[in-house]
Amino acid sequence: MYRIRLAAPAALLAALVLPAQAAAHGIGQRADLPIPVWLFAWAAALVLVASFVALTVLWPKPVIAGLKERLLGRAPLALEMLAGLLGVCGFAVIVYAGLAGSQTPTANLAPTAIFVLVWVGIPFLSVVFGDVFNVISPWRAVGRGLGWAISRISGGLPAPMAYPERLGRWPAALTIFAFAWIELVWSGRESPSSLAIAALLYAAIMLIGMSCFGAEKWCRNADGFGVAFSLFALLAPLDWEGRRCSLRAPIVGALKMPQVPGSVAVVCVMIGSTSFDGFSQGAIWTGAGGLAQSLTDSFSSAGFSDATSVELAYTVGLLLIVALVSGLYRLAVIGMCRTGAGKPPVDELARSFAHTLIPIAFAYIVAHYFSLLLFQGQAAVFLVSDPLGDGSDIFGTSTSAIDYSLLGANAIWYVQVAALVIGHVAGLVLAHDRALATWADPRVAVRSQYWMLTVMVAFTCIGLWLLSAAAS
Amino acid sequence: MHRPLAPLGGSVVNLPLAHAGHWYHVLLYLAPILLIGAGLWWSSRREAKRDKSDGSDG
Repeated sequence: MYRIRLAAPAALLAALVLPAQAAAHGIGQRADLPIPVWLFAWAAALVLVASFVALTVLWPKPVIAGLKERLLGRAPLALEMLAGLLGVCGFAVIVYAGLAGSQTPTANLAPTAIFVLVWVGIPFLSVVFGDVFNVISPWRAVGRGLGWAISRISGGLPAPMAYPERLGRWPAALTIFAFAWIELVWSGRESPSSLAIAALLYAAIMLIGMSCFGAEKWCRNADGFGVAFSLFALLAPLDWEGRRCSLRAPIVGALKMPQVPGSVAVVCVMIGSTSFDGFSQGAIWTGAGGLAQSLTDSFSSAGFSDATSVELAYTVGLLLIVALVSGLYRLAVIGMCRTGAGKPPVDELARSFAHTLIPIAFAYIVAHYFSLLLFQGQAAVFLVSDPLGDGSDIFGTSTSAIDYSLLGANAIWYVQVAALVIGHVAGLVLAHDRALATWADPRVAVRSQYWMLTVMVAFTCIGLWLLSAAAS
Repeated sequence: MHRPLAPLGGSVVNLPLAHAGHWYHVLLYLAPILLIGAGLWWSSRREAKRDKSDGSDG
């Protein structure tokens, strides 16, 4: 009996202190780490605290808004048109492959193109080259092309309706949530033809919206993909205004995030949906008697079919995690609001600091999907040669395979941890600078950021826990 | 970890603690958040008090 009493705590202690394993998200590799995964969370929290102290001492007044950009040049109109044409052709190929090709998800170009190349690949391109999606967006290219053609034929376009300012970016937040639902919840997500139909429906909604409110206004507010990718582009060292390209310091463009209704919701949905992707692979959600099982059972007993019950359970989970992320951010803002004199309204402050979440949203994408892009992204090489999965070999690359030895599991884990830490430190820098610009007294500004620091530490630790949970 | 207790009224009851294996490690990730949050809250209160006393002195 005594041995048993000793064995239980000893086993628990061993589980806590022994080196742990972590898996690359979405890919079945396991890292063999020299220290337990939770120690990374402690180390990351310490890095954030040290960064906060350094900012307090070394950054006494706001500087980001005063930074100048350097004009690099203008891109030719032909390049913009070519990019738009490429976007339209790419979209047409993806939809055609989804509708006419093999319905095996791994053999068809559509699922990999939508979930990996576009949803994960474009954010990576955006933080390096700026807003690439703005020029390759198929619906924007078609909308602008049609608008140009109609105005040439009929001698002018009727003025678009005024976009309701109250709506702001709420339609984009809803779009991103809907896409996350398709990716993480919908039972038809693996069917290429269902994905192609969803893509066509979305393009139709975009075209109708653009015809009512104008291409630019609609794309900047209601196109979830355009809005999400344009936010990541704010972190890029290249700033595009039309075809004019300027060079700036990385991440400082985040200050340009429009402070409109729904802007906080957009970033919270992005972080929340990525978090749910990790959470839904962990034992708390999927384990025997886990939350997913309990919720599914509840819906089943209420009379829903098994498939619908699972979808409802996952929908609730997705909503809860998005609400949790939004709640944490709201908590930080309320805390900030209570800190000092001259308190701005909570909603105003929430929008004013929303840009600090952009690097965190990108960090979550890197942490959760880096390995997916690295490995599944290689599938594009053979899928472009055989987009329908019917055995064709258009570019002679249909026999290439995914090289899983490209990067080891440990290296992937370190990339994930580095991304989370760098993303949150970048968020702290942006928040510190904005606080100094908001409160005249630097001491009050620093104190207001205690709340933001706590929330950043929370996001970092939760992010690392989600990665480790997905591995368990 | 998933150990059912004796049937109660015809149904199997699972103690929440029986699932501890699913969640005990969460505490290790929560600890730095709670420590830093508590530390900053305490520091914030102390600074606010000091500011108030500085104000009343002046």
